[in-house]
Amino acid sequence: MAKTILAVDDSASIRQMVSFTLKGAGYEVIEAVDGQDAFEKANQHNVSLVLTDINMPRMDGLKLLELLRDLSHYRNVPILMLTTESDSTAKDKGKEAGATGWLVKPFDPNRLIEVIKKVID
Amino acid sequence: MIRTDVHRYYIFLIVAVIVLFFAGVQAYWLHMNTVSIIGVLSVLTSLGLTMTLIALATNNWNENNLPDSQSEILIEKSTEENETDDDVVHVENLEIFNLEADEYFLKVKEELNQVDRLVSDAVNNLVNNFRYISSLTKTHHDMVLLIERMAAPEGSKPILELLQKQMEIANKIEQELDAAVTSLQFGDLVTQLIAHTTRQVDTLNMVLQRIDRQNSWKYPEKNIDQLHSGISKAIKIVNSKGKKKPVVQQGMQTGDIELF
Repeated sequence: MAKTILAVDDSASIRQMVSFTLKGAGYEVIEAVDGQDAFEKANQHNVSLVLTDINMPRMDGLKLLELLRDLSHYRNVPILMLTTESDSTAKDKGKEAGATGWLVKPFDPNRLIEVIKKVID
Repeated sequence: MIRTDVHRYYIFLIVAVIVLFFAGVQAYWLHMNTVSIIGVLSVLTSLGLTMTLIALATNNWNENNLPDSQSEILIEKSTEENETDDDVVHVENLEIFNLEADEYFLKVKEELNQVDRLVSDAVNNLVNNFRYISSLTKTHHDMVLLIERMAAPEGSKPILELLQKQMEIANKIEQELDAAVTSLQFGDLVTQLIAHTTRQVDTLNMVLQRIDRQNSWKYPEKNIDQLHSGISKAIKIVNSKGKKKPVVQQGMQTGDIELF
């Protein structure tokens, strides 16, 4: 059975690109438009990995990360941050909040798949 | 207008010297003749008038020795200060300035929104094209595999070679599509940068309007400084309130990956 990945980004084109890449690699993909939408969907589905942007309306990626880590069933689920931000302060915040990894946009589809395989399997 | 005020400065000084001369003559006359109250009052009045004229001349000089841009503003204002009607006109001008500033910032925002809409539209079209080409490539790939299987029993070498070439082309297209996935992310970077710039424009407009509302034109010498410090403050507020630039990428090279 294909593993499910929750892809969170307020940019429709990024969601489509992520979805295209992950589906091509055989994963099920659930899309969410911001942190709040993602948090609701994360509670409705059995998600194996969360791939989230940071700068989003309503709820940003770091807040989503904190909320998910507070849930017992998401304590060990890999959460990757996919963002345009690359400075060490932001990375440290993500690391402290429990992020599994930090990917700077734009992503390369093959490298994204490699990383996901590494942390999900 | 500046030249007229410089002339006024010299006129004040010359009149002051003349009045002082007369005060001296009066004092000498008093000294040589009988001292009377009227005589003393006359000398004191002349001295008072001299001091007033010197004060007026000094004030006029200070205004004219400010940097050019400030002088022009102050000269316009000093004329307006004497007439109530002009004050009303001046306030109306300020309001027009506010309106113009508002319109200007609105125009900048509209243009940024236009860029955003154009980019989003172009990205949507490109993504649709991409998906269509991708699905065609997949179908083509599957067809080549099927033909290969059908042709294999007969073992026709030219057909198998042709199919091999077809497969190579299909693989090459897939590689290019992967590269397109990276390039198509430019829309997100541009949208974030436009949103950041729009926020900065909004904050700058808001802070400048606040300074303008303080209406610091009544007392020019004091308020030119206030205006300058207000503008500096506005820039500081915009810098401090503005979020950090969300996009630092200068090109579409893929970003770093770090696992914690």
